[in-house]
Amino acid sequence: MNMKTITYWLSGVLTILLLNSCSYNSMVEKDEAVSKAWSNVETQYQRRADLIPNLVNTVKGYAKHENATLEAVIAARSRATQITIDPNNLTPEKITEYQRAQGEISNALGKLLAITENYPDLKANENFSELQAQLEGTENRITEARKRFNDAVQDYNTYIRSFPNNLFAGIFGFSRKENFKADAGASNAPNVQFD
Amino acid sequence: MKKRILFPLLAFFGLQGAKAGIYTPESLPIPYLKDKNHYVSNPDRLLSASAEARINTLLQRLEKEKGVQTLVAIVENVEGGDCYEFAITLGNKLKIGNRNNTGLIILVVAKDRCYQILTGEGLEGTLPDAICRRIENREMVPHLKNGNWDAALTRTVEAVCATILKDESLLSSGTKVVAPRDLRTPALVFLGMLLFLVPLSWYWSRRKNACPRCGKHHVKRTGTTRSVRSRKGFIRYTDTYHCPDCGHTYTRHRDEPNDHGTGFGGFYPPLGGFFGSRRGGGFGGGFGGGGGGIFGGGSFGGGGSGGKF
Repeated sequence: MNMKTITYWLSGVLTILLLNSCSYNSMVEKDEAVSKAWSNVETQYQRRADLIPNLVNTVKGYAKHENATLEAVIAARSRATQITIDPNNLTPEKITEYQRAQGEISNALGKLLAITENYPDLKANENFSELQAQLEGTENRITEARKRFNDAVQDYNTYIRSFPNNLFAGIFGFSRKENFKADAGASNAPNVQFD
Repeated sequence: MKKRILFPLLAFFGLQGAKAGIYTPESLPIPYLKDKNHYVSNPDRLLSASAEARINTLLQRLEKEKGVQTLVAIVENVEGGDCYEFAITLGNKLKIGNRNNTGLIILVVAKDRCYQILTGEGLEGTLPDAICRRIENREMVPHLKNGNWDAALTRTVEAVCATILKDESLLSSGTKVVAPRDLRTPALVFLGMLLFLVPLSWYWSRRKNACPRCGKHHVKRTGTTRSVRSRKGFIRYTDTYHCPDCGHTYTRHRDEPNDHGTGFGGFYPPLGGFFGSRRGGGFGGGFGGGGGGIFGGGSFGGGGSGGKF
């Protein structure tokens, strides 16, 4: 009888430990998934930044009088590449800052691509067309990477905030993570002017 | 037999297409799932049968040699009118491509006048965006502008195949599509075990009530005595049996684990447990279509190139 009581108690404690370690491991896994998704986001943004010098040089050959636009792109690029975030330290402020810097590149690139419309020779250039394809592909990859990052964050947040994991998450130091918000400009309809 | 099944199916899809007109990633028919040699989805009959056959032949070789799973789709309209959105949603929903993510989608939407080549994540090195654009500019767009869908898609697929087949680093080995065999082997093992276990359990239960003297199967147990512990954790029972046919009475020993009657031991429970676990696992589809193909879990990260014509 005495032996039995001890066994029951022991198995109870063991069960709790087992459950606990299970949810702990899942938390670590989901945390890592978020970090991985974040590095993928950074990789894709970096890929875009790497395309810019080549693009600028190609445009320069055809559109010599657009220096201001070209320089704006280069300036935005050099500002943005200085900002990187440690995936283990994804604070909302840092994500916002990162997003703003990358948004500036997007704006500058948008202007650059808009002026290329005025240069039929440039548009007919196969090299430029292929560069543009790479740029579009990279923008698509960025969108996809951001979507996956947000999914990973949501998965993680849902997990650590649901019962009974929320009881342990605090103890183990897993806190809520921030996701990407839609770009400030993206929600506004584009402003089209005919002149 | 096959035709009888296929015809209503085709009629169904045909009707659906006519009714829907505008395809969503969910409603687009995927013939590959029913026939693994059929890569083209052509529900609006924009491609001629000969072009479809030619493309299918090219893509069969591509999957066999390089493990690249392709979907070629040509329709009148898609929901939203955006080729890229449609293609990536479709690709990630169906998981075209195998574990190496070498999936490929070539999409043309005639009335929305857009096209897209979408490369799986494992194919981005073999078929970079710039090469996709080059193929589109040279082989696809000029024909699309003339409304020559046959030439546009055939030549595009030819160019894509040529590029992929040239890539030595892409091996068919790690990328083999084993999906049908993958499901059939466990199923065979399962069937084999059933075939083995059922007669065995029948034989065992029959042997238990066979009379050792006359061999007839009417033996009845008339009494049981519980005797000493034979081994640690086991209790020896002595059963007395009586055969009504020849009047023979005899005893048999059996050792049962001393488990307070939790019901372990014996032969039938493991069989039951076996059934339970197999059913619980489920087969997740895969039978049904005799020669159907299976997309092996590829994912798309947005690589490729597309545009308007």
